[in-house]
Amino acid sequence: MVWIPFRRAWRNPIFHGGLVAFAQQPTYRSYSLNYIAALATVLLITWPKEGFVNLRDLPFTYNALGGTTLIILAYLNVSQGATRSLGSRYLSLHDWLVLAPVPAGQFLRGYLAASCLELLLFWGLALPLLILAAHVSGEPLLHLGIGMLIILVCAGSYRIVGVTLLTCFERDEFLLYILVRLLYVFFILGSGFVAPLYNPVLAFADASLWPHRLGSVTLLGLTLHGWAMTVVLHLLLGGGSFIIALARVRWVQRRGAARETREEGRGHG
Amino acid sequence: MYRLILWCLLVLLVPGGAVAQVTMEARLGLQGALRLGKWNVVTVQVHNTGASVMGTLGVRTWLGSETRGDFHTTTFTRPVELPPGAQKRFTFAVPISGIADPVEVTLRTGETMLAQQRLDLREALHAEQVIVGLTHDVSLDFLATVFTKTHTRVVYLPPSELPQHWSGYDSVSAVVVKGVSLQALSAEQNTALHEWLANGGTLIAAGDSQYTLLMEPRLRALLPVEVLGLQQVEGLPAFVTHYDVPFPETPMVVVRARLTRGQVLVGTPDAPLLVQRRFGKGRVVFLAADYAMQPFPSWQGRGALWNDILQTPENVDFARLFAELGMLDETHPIMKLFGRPVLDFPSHLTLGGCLLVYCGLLAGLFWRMSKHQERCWGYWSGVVVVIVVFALYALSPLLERGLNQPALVFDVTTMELLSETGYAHLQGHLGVFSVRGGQFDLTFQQPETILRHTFTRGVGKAGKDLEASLTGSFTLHDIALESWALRVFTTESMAPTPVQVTVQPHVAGLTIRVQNRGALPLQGAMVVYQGKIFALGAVAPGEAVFDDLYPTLRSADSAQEMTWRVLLKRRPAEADTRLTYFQEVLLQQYFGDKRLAEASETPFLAGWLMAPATLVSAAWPVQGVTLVVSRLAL
Repeated sequence: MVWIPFRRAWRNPIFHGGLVAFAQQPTYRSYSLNYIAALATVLLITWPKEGFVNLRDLPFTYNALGGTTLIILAYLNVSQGATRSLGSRYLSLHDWLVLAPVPAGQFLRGYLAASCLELLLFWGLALPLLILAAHVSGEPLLHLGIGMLIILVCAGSYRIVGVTLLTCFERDEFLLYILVRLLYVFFILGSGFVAPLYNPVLAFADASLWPHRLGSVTLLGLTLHGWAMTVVLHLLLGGGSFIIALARVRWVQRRGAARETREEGRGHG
Repeated sequence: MYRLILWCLLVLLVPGGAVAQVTMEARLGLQGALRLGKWNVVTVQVHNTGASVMGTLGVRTWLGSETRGDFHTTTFTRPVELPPGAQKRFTFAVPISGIADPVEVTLRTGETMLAQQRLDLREALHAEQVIVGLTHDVSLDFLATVFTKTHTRVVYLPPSELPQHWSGYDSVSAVVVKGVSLQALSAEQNTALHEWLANGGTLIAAGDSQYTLLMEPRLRALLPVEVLGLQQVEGLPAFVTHYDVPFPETPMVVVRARLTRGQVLVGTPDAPLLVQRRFGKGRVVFLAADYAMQPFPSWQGRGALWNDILQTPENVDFARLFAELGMLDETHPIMKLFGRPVLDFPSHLTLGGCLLVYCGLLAGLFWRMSKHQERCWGYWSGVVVVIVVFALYALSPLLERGLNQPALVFDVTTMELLSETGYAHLQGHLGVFSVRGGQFDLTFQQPETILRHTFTRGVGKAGKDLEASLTGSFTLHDIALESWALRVFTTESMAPTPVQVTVQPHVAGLTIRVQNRGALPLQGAMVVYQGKIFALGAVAPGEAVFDDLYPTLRSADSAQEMTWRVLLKRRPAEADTRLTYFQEVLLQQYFGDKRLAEASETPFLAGWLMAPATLVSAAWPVQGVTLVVSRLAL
């Protein structure tokens, strides 16, 4: 049962093509090295002085590294999701759908899965460094697991948001450019002030030894930690964005089909 | 008929009735006398008139101060079994530092409160000095007026009511024995009396017509004289000479004795009138005359005599006062320990190397990938392998084990061997540092341990309620700590000495014999005398070491060096460098800034037990060492 989605993804022609393109494209490799070098620098800078327990301050290394990872991955995923990475910049979604005559759902799932390969690579690259940081900060493996889950879910939802923006505003590049940056600033910075439960960095800190500033939320008689609410909200965000993107793809597909029918009718006429 | 039904209904509806079955009466202090800042006795009498009861008796005290942020309660609990008709007496020794909050005594079975009593400390009889009289008369009452600067109370107790444990004597300054046999004491009471004496108590044995009581084995073993009998004298000219106060030349009876050990204060070694001997840190005083008989009660020199006997310090003990006010908290050995690298996580160099290898391997794989596009899948598998291997490496070899436990528990203890007493006094400095928060228990090696002081530090807060269980061993339960919080304790306990040290002076120096009766080796044993250090090395369990020490020999160490620094240099070599920090703080705490020449006017032995001596390693390991020190009486 667990393998079914993977098997389906493997058989998805869009994902398959995306995977081959991802494996051979040098851009990701260059990004990966820069990304890991940035994280390694943060780890070295925040690594505590040898052997001391600072009673006055909570350990900083783990949260610093986790926060940096989230800040980088959030930007990469919103911006790269909204970039036409699966083809030439002259190919529109409509062209894609004409070239790959698959159902809208299959197309979007394949496109998203292929797009998320980059996220998975970056998430995996950060894992050894986050383990080191967690150990030196006294964080248990449970906290580390929650932290990794927060990074994956939040960055994944931003990727879906990026793809949704791309499907909706692919023709207006300026608007897309502005929207991506506005949304990124809101998720990483603005939400910390106006809607803290939306902020992934605060959620990451909330799931560590640091004081639980996000508090807890009671939902349907179930008391959830602040970080859990952030995960739920990001899952909803990702799900909602996926639905919007799916509707848009279907609309483009239907409109394209109608145009073709019209053109065919005009040709026959 | 209706009344009968109503009564039956009432009997059925009123729950339990267990509360009415047990009556409890609690009393504060030794006959109501309390000494603030010390551990005082609380005696609880329980009478069960109903069915059998299994419960927990608890005494709760409030300690610390809100302004200092160390306000907390400690509940001392003991399980009680009360068969029908049982009448039992339980004694607790509890710390009392102020009168604002009452002492609460409760008897519970499960969640049900069977009896409760609150003891108002404002109504207690407070004193700065409590003297216990084991006498048949009340002739010590005058002592309450002798010491003008120290508020003194005299308490007369029958031998059966003497404390069972040394902690019960914490509030007592002196015990006066006259005309009462110590043979009637239980073995526990006798041990408690010896332990208290060894730790600084004063026992006064005064002459009485029943002089044979002074010849009984228990008292004879303590006295500085051998009692020979009674003799009639005409006045006491030795007292006149010593105190310069005339003494009536009336016929009176004094105990005839002969000095066996100690120091004659008044009289001669063959006819001593006032003699004292050291017993560990305490004293045993022998007064040949009966202070209750004429002409003593009307003698003008009585105050001076009792000042000599009790040697009451009239100065304020600033060190203790500062400690109680929390002004010395930052110099507590555990706080000093946290200023040193006690953890074992990788250095920047190790981390840098590790990161370099990780990034280098990834860069290498990516470079190969760009050169050989056709084999890119193989290289991607290599990337996954590198990530997994480094993740596993980070999980285990680079793990900081101390921080990855629920708590770090430190126990650095100073064990002072009290020569000629057979006991050792242990001062434990304990620290429980919780990385992730939780509730912790500490089990102590000695069942009678006194908690002198506790405070908290760190980012997280500590719970304000402690529970001390007195079931068999002494255990502190429910030490609640938030993440990144430290609770520090200072404790005192007494134990049979594990190391016996005897020293004999000879013409050119000393002959020393160190016998290790304990289960742990005494490591790095050395004797410091006249500014010189003589190394004895390790003494294995069950072994004895003899050595002749010659202070005339040249020493490699300068007598002007700090004692702690010299002893630290001579410590046994240890693979674990963190133990060095434990040793350093213990030596600094014990010797302070004293130079070698100042600290060794009388010879002393110093050595190490490489294990904690106050706490038992239970759920998680306790890190610590024990400094063994013995001042050697020549």
